[in-house]
Amino acid sequence: MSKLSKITIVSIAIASIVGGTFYLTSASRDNNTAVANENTSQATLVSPWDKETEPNYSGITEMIVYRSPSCGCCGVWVEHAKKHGFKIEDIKTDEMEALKQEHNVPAELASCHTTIIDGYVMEGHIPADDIKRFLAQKPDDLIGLTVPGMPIGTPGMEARDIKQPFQVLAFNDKGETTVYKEYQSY
Amino acid sequence: MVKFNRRQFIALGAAGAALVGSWLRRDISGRTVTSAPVDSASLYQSSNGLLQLDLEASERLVSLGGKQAYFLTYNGQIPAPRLEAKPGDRVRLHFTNNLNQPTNIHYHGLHIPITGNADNVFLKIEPGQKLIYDFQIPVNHPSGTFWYHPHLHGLVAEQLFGGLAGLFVVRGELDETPELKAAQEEFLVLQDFALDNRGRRSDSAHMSLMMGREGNVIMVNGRTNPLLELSDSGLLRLRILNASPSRFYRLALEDHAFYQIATDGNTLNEPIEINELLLTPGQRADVLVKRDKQSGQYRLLNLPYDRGNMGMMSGRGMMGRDNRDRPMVLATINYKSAVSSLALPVSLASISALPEPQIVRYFELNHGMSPAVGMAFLINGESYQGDRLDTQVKLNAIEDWELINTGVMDHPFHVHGNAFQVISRNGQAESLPAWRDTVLVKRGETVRIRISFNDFAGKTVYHCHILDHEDLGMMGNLMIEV
Repeated sequence: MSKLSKITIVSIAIASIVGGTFYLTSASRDNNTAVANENTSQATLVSPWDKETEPNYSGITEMIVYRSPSCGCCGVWVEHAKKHGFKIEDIKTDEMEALKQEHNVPAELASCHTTIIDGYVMEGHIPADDIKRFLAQKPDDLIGLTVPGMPIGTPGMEARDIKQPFQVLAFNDKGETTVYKEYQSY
Repeated sequence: MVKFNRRQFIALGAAGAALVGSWLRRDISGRTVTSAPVDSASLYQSSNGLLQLDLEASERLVSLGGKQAYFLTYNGQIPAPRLEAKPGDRVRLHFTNNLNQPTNIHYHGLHIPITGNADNVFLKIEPGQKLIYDFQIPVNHPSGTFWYHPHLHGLVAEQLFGGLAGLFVVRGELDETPELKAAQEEFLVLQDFALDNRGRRSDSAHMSLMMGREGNVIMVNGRTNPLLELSDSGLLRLRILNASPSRFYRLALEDHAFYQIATDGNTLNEPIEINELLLTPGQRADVLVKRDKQSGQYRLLNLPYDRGNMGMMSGRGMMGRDNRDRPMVLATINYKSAVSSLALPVSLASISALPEPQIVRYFELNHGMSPAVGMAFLINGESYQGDRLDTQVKLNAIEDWELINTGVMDHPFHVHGNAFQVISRNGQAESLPAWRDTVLVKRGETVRIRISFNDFAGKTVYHCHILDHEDLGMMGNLMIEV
């Protein structure tokens, strides 16, 4: 942002749903008067992930989420997890790569944020209720779940009506995977 | 493209060549050389001032690189037929959409009307419908390498990734330069596709749309590693198009320099020696190659390029191990006899700097979450909306646009209808006079361009040419008013 210092920034709107660092810098500047429809409605996008599907979960709810300071969608996922009853210690760090190595998340299974809960690693934009189902089963041959990459439509990655099919993969400490749950449409 | 300082490039030359040489000893991923002609695209040329043809978009079974797959094609071909016309010619293109989704055609880089049945990206041609594109290429139009591809917002990346792209060449004065007339001319259309083990085009549903989809197979004129045989005389003139929706190409020819003579179809004042050529999606370059080394085969390499990540991790390794950190062979050039004294053309054009601008505008490029639309790619914090006018300019006005990338990924910025000059990058004056229609704005970079809105009034667009970013909102409506 330091490069912007020479420029007159009339207003910076920071989206309110998540605090902290966030990408949405709406900087309208001199000489580029956006005409007409200010119809960016205030309505919040309805997420298909708000629905509670594991109401009887009684396991551990404390989780640590590691994410890079610049990751906006990670923050939206944190909100998603909170909505589903998780209590979150939100840690911003620039050492994400080392952290993933430490927790045996191979590069091809990596996403943005990494969550640690009940001794398991939860990588990326996993639906919160899948984490609950997994933790209730307490598998001893697996180290965690992942949604590799950042598929659009996953919790925290909602974009209008775009919904990429995606898989939640379970993996072991050798990086071997099985499909834990598949979402074709949601 | 890094700074085009001629002296610097010559200085870099030796180091660059040494680097490419060292890769020879290492494993370079590539396939066996295919000996079919390098350019098999069919050709439509204008005659008596008219370029007339039927063009049909449809999904067809095409045999590419020894594999059969269903591609999205114009006239059943990958790449699409090459169109050639001269300044002043009329173009009448009888288009039929036999795809299962709507489409249209953008004539990328051509300076023609942006309304009506011309370079109008707001046309929506439904499946089964026909439309006659009908326009005239201005008499004073530059001669160069342009191209055509679909441009219906929301479907652009998908349709290009299916294969819909072809060259549109304007023949003119430049081609009459003696050195170029004597040169061997070859067109290279660079496309990448997602093909599975059986050669089927795989569903793009699982691709990284955030990063911009990239395919596992790179093809040059619909072939993997084609062999390009050079004739016994003259320079080689390569006319290269990056027709991939997201992939950047950083090109180098083993042991040879490129002498760049055109940027995005616009002629440079004189050949510029470079050892690497970075082409972002949408960009074109014309380069000359001297056949002055030992006779034999030389590989055209695609060198690794890091265009950023999604703000996930600082280093590499994200998104799996196909994070191309090795050079790949795109094509092989063969010549039987070397020529040591091939003269380059000395003077090609005379580009004059645009006068001072009347207005300066600022465009901030980034992505983010917005409460109303969710994850989106943004210009000045706004995701594209068809009914919103983002920028209004006056016909014949000269403006400076400052393009500020505050994000974590590179964004190549394309303006429809009018070429522009790069004034500075990160405040440093651009030394090379050149006209372009697409400029790379690297992450963290600020690029200032100067543009004159000439001849044609109406509504058009500017956008990121990583086409997934465009489809996900990084586009704005531009109104050029009389």
